[in-house]
Amino acid sequence: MPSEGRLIFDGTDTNAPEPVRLAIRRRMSMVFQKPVVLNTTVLENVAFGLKFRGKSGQESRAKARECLELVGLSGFAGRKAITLSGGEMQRVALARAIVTEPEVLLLDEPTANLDPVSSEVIEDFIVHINRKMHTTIILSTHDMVQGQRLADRIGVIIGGTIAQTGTITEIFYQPKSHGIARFVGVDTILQGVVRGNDQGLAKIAVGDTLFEALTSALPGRKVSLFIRPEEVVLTKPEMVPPITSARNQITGTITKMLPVGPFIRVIIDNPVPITALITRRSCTEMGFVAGMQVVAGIKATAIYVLPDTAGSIGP
Amino acid sequence: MKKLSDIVSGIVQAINLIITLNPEVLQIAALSLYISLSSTIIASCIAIPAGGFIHFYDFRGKKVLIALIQTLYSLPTVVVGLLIYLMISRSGPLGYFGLLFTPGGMILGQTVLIIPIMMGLVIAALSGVGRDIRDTLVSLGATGFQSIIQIVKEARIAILSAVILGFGRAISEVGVAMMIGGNIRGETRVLTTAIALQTGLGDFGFSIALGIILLSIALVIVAIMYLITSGAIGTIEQIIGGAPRQ
Repeated sequence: MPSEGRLIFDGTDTNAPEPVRLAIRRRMSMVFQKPVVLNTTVLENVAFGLKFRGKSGQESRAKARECLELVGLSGFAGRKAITLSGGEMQRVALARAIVTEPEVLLLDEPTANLDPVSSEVIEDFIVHINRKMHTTIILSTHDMVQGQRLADRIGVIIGGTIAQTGTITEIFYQPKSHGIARFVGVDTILQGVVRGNDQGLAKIAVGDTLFEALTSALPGRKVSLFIRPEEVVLTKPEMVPPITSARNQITGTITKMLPVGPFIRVIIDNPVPITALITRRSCTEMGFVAGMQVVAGIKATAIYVLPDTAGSIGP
Repeated sequence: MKKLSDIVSGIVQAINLIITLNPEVLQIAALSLYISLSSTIIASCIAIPAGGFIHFYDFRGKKVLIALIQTLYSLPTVVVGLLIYLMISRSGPLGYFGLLFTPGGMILGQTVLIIPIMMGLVIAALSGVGRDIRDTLVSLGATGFQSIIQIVKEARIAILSAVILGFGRAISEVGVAMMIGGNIRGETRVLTTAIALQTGLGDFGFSIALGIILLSIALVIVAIMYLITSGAIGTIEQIIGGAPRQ
């Protein structure tokens, strides 16, 4: 039962007597963030959902074996479930959740406590369930990249409310507010004013620097520019080719370089703050260091322009 | 002050009594086991469902009740002896049944004695089953009753410990056995009361023999507990000889 508001499942209000709620619960299943197994064998664990639904032990176990095979744990059927590793337990939990062929599968950060290899196995399996069994999956995650990999549609929840829903492109490239933009990894958020607009190709002044970007916003309109760090190409001033597809060439000074796995986040300032994400290799090859003058190349199409409204600048 | 030789000869006599399967020693040991096992079984039948009820249902005064149960862990055996004595003596409310100075009365007394500790430990055992297990059961489509059964199964080892601890308290207590049973030879004399009496009479060999038997019973209990908790015996079904799971 929801603690607040109403929850409608397939037209039925879930705030109903227990028999109705049980019937609804039995059409869905859930995997929790923390791997949970019951203290019995792996096979019995997977068979629980079917047994609760009154299926015979034999039928339940046969079906459970099939699901264990799907998650790659067929050799573990007789093992005590509590002796498994976290990743294995989570795979058992997934097998246990799909053995009943639910219409909706709820996954609450299913890989949050797992190592990268286990996470990958789980992710592959989630995709498999979605594609092969046509199960609707609702997955919550803090890992934006995971959301990008797995989801057809994303809803961003900030401060307890759904801030934006949409496709991956809409969420990651056209966020509807500064808060969402920061959340989905837009590192550069600039505020400027449209100076001119030539059939959708606008000139936008950010301080004294002019950017070219695509927007229908008319001259005089205040706008925000969202630039994803991987869209920014860094070069040395003397190496900028005379003809380039990047319409914006902004010269600036490197102020900080932060390693992020195989990438380096390069923060440029003066005159405008821009963040770029480049590979370690190219950083070494180009010899970038803090204090150096560089040119940030950004295509006009890589800048998302959001006209400022009351809600867009807030969180 | 007893001489060391008295103790040594006592031990020799004790070993002799045990090896030769002295009928009186065996009878006392058997009666002890009978009374304490009976009270453990009866107390289990009351304490496990009652503990389950207290754990699974919310009601006013639940915390107070649990605190009260925990206080009764240290219920003195002689206080139970006194209470039961008053209840079952000829003029007491249960006097009609004539339970005073009978094994039946002793079973009643020991049952009352060990119910609080068993109930308290059952509640603790069920509380030990985490919220995540309950949520998982609900998510798997279990009814309320199916959830309860599964949670009890999940807590089975801790519940079994509660039962064994209750048995340990019953077989080792002397207050109820003495006051309700009266230590009548051949009828209500159990290991603890016999040891108390024979020691007073200076019959150390007999006392030591009974003491060894009492300790052996405790050892067997500890061994069973160890086997269960270490996983050598997985489930209750295996202990009582059920078919092994495939």
